[in-house]
Amino acid sequence: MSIIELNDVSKIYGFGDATTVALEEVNLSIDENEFIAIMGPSGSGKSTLMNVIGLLDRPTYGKYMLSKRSVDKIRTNRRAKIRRDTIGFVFQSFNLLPRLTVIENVALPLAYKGVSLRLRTKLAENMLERVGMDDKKYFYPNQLSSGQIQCVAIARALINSPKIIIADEPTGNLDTTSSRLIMELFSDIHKTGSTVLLVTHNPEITRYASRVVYMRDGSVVLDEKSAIGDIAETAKKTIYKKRPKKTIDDDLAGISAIMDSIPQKSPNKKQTTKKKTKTTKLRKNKIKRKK
Amino acid sequence: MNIPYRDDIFLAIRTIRKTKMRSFLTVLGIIIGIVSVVTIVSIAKGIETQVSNQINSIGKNLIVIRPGRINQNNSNSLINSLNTLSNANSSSSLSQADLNSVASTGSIAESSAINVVNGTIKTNQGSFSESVLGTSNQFPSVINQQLAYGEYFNSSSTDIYQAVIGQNLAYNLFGERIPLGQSFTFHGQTFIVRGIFNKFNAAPLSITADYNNSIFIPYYTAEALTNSTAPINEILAKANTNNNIEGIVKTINKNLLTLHGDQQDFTVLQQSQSLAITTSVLNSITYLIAIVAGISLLVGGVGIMNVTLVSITERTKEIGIRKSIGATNYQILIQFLIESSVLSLFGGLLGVILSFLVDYIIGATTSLTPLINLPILVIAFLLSLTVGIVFGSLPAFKAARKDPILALRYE
Repeated sequence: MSIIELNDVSKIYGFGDATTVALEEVNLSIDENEFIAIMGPSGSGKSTLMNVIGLLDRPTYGKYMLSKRSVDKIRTNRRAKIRRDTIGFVFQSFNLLPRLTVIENVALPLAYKGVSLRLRTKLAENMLERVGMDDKKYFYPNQLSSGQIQCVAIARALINSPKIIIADEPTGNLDTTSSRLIMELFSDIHKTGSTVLLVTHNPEITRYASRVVYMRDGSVVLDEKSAIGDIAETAKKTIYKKRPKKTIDDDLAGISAIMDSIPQKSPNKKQTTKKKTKTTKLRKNKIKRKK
Repeated sequence: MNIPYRDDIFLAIRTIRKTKMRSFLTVLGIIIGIVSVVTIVSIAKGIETQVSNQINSIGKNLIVIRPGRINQNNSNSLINSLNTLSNANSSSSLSQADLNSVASTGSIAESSAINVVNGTIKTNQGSFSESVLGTSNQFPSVINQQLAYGEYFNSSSTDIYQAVIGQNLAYNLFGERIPLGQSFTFHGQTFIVRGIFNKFNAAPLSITADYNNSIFIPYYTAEALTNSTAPINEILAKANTNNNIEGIVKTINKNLLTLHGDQQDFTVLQQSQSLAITTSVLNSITYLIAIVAGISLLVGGVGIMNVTLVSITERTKEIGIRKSIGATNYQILIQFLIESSVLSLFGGLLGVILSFLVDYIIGATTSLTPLINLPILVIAFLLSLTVGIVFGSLPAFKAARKDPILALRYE
């Protein structure tokens, strides 16, 4: 049963000449209890997609069904409540509130739900125990290491037992050991029945995913199933064949390796659709103007 | 116990404690505003209490007849109540006949007229211009006051140039505490001081004169000095009962009306009315000054608004995070409203503490006795709360309406 369904979802920023197409007619259907890794170069629209799915942003065009219900037209406050109850966010930059202690940070979503202080503290303690941070509950975020902070952030995302966890490069700022720990946590969460969406640049991460979605220039270009425990086939190509030497040229070569391994958008694909949508028109106009 | 918004309140208090200096500077305007408003109102309250003490010590059964008409209609109107004092000072329309009429009214035990004699007093300390009042020998008992030293003059005495002085004058005029037997010159005659009054319960702004600075001479002496031209400033009459003062006032008024050919060019007041007049004058002045003082509260409010606006920009990221984990716009709005309210309440608290200090200094250095009571405190806190809510609402609305994505991206 699909919990998230995107139909021709587009997101366009700006007006007139300054328009940017962040998402272009994305069609994506995600079933409950999938672990989806989303890969793609910078600016490919991964974060925008996460924001739309996480109800932080509204698509410019297209339909978004969350748990079989259309969420395009609902009002801001209702969106905030759905966000609170069904979606948990984990960010690359952690985003804990620096003025609150660890336990207060974890309990904050419960506070917005109106849970009493005592119950909220108890639930937050349990959750911190689950991520192995219960001994640090009265610390402030700036007293912890990055890996520990991300554990706390995950605890906060889980506190409302959300159906969907959205993680935007959660291991981006972490070393290998911490990354591994965090990914084990996500794996656990996945096993308890949650749907996990995880944006990453690191092909190794796809080991944990049951499906990998590749994006480029605002579109989903490839969608492949991948066995948990194995690196996804396409992602594997982005791994350096040999250890790169430490020169700028080699670094650039590494980046182009990623770019090459993700398939290009096929320009003919659009012609096969029934009619031109507003988005394609906009894009065409933009290309014309550039010429 | 689950107090609504207690997290927000605690967080706001924690913020203030962490940024003490900044919070203090932010609420400085509120502090000044609250101190001025509280001080002014407490001074007025103090005066009112002093006047009512004065009236209680004189006795509720005292009836005062004054020349001129005090218009008490429209006592709500500011201008009228401010005018009552000047009306009371219009030239006298009272005469000896009026005094006789009052004295002969039933239920009036004692009465005394007060004539004002103008002039300069010479003592061995120099020249002074004090008010010299001609009174009858019933005066001390009419106003319910004892002499501290000596005795009041009586009509049997052959020496008509004798005087009794208020306590403040003793030292001012003669340079000693008990100047019994000292003499001064007034209108070419030498007066001997026969007695000194106990301290009168004086009150600022009272329509009753401050007798502590007065010299009392017999009324026949006053008449002799001025060829009976000294105006009667007021007639004091004391009823022999505390009941039905109103009825006695009416009787006196009726009798005097007949004497004055139906002209209401005098006013018969009982003490409760004196209090009412003082209070109404005082209130009009107090409200005016308090409103002006309240303007500094507006300035303080703008200060809070300014700092809250800056702090909201600083904390854009925080707002983004809070929204991403499910805070509604309303919850963000409440958070920042509570923050500005707590901040201005903190200012109000400091202001009230400072007011106590200011009032103590005023009480110690002047004759005023400022009085801070519960209603004043409640008003002070309500005022600061209102300022916090009013001036916090614009920044709070701004915070609540921030776009979560832009806010999250803000560094």
